[in-house]
Amino acid sequence: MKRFSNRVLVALGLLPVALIGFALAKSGALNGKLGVIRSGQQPTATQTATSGRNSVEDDQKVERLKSIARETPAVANRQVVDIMREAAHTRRDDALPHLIRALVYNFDPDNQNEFRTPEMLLPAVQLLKENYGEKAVPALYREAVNSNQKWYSNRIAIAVRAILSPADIQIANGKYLRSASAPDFLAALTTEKVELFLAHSNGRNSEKLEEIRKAKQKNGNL
Amino acid sequence: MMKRALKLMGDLMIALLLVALCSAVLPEKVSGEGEPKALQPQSSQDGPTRMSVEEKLIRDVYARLMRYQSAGLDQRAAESGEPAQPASYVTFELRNVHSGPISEIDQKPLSELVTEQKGDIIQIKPTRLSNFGGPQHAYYDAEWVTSASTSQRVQGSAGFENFNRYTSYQVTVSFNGKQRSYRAMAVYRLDDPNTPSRPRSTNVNILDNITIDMNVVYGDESPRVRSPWSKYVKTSLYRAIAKSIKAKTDAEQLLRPEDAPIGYLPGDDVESSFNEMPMLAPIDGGGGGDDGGGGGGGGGEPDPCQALTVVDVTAAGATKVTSVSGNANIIHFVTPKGGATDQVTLTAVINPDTTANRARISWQGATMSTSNRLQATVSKSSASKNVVKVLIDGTAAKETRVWVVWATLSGGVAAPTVTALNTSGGLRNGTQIGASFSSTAAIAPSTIITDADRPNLSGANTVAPPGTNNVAGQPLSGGVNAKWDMSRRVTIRSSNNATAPAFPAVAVDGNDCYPTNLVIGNDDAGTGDENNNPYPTSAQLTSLDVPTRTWGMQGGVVGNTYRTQLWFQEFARLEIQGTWFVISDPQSWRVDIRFIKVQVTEALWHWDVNGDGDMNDDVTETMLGADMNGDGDTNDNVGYWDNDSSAAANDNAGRPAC
Repeated sequence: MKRFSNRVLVALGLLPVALIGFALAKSGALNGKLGVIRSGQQPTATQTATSGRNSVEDDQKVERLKSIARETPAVANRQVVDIMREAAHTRRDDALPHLIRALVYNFDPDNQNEFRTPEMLLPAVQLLKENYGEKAVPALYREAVNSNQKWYSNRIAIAVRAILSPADIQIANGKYLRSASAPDFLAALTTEKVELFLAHSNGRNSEKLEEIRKAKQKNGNL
Repeated sequence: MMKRALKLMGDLMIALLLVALCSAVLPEKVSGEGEPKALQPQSSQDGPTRMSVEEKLIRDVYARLMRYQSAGLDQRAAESGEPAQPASYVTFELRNVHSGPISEIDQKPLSELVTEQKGDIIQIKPTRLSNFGGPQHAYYDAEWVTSASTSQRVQGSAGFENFNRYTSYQVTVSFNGKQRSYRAMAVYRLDDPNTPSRPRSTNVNILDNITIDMNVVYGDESPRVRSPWSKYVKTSLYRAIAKSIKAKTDAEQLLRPEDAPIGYLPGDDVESSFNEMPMLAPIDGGGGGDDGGGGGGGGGEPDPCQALTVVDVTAAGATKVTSVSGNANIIHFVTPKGGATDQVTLTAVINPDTTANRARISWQGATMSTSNRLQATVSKSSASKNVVKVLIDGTAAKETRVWVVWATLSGGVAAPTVTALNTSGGLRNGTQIGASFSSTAAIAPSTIITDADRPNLSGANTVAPPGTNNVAGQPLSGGVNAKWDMSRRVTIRSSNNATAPAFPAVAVDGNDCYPTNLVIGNDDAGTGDENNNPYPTSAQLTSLDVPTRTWGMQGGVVGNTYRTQLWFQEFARLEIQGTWFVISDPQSWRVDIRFIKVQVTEALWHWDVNGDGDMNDDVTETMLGADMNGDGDTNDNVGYWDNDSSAAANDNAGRPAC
């Protein structure tokens, strides 16, 4: 069951354009103020990320997170989100890189009860912000610099923008980015509108159908 | 029991209303909004002021009349067995008191200074009782009468030659449910206004055309009648009062000492030693009475005319908001609307909190408790702005606002929009069904947003709303970005009969129910579709939603069906001092999204897929050579998910019990 069709720009998708514009404006995505929780807000003292807890149960949670790793955009269902949340709540250092890689998952933009902003479409963003806060930022920059896929670095940029204020992003850029490194990521950190390539679950088989049609046309079947 | 309670209440109210005539209150500077001029502070006062002997003279005579009249009511009640009602007590409020030399007014027409006798006036009639040669006791009856003709009954300015000072003032008299305000004046001879000695009755003329015969009251040195008289004269209290008065008369002492408190009547000093009633504090707060035997008017009490302040006001049934826009001295309470009988109970905290001081408290804009003058109530049955003031001696000393908030939602859901989905080459391969909903919440009273003096409820929320995650696992904490918030509850039922292959599972299709805690918005994990800032929008919040399902060719076979029923309740909520409250009725709507998998035909695609020269055939996976529904084989008919009479409505019909 193939669940994604990559290279689908959300802005060109099926959601009403006006509503998207409204949502982006309200979410602050257009002016750099992302999210409901103020940029830069950190976990409380009791939420501070820890590295010392290594219960068997937590080990299993991190292992389950590892097991859902994907290389391409994928649709997040409830089960995936639960696995991500359980691992994120351990706040263990070794769960952090896997939670960052879980940014490959997005909610299905075609099936929704409530309109979602780009940040809301990526369930890992909220989990990173709530459970790791600024502690996740160096690892996010590292992952982005090492990535050569724009769709992925764009998702990382959305996560960074959810965690840091624009001013703090400027500071982090100077700290973690060398000049000319990761230009797509750098652009996504500051642009008004981040391109978000999303997986869908609608099963339309559009590309497959067009390939078949073109093949048959080539054989004279019009 | 009730009669006794009423009597006690009346006794307490009147006896202690005497100190209500003290003028040296400590009003805060309050806004004058909605306040009658007569109730506004006479002047800005930065600290306690001591009442002049001239002002005391005036206030004292009206206070004594109140006590005599109260005694009359007690006597009537003792005779009839029916307690007096609160409205039966004559009360006076004096304000705009001004004293000066007679030369200031001797050229003015009297009508400028004293209201002429016209219309409703109060007639008072003294009754004096004595027991076998004992001292006369007095009570006064009062009644409204109508003056038949206009007259200036009091003597004109030509008679001022015997006086060198005057005090003019405004009187508001309340009695038997009727109230009248008027001007009156007293002229008298007083060589040194700064001495504590008051002028004797022969040197005083009270010019009051509405409460007539005040000069009789001024000259009256009778103790008040205690009721029932027949029992009182047999008590040790009567004997003690009689003895005290005789002793003072024999010694040529004043029956009403120079330093007596306002409203003092002969015998009060003796009564206080019997501890039957609370005694008045002396005006100068110093010693007691002049006989040294009766406690001297409660010398241990703080001076009620100088120290009384309203320290705070608390509320039950509403929340005090500590962040304020505008006048920081105004206390703001906020509550959502309640039921028809729900109330906000305000309690004034005064200092010093004494029985006498409590009697000086009254309320404006709220209903004062009949059993506790420090408490008053405001209805919260409908949205409203309530300007409530705590008064000391009739002057506003603390101002509050009780905001009863409610929002009315309007708008609704449109019929579902069905969008055919095609490949880039025009082959129909799916359907999107969505229903657009919009809502506007009008906040009432809008003045909670627009008033200069208001609780500061702007800006970001300080606490997350209750609740955990929505059906997709997204945290509901993301559903707010301000203290005002539009939110939504959802009940979900999803079903389909696609088994071979199964229908793709999506995160939003799990069953869900309205939360039992109504402040939880279980369909509100984001704010991208809300405007939660009512300040630039004339006290309005808005929300949008487009619940949507989009399906192509995945899952099931031709004839299978899919259905998601969504019942929504839009509502507004408000964070008040760290706690979230629902502030609207729910706005119900629903969307019933129904798909059916239908056969793809050559005619639909305008394509002779199998190359047989016509477009009459159903398309099959065999023709395409591909698995289109995801079951792993290529032997099924090709179908796509199409609309199956989806619907939307502005109600919650059919919502299952959870």
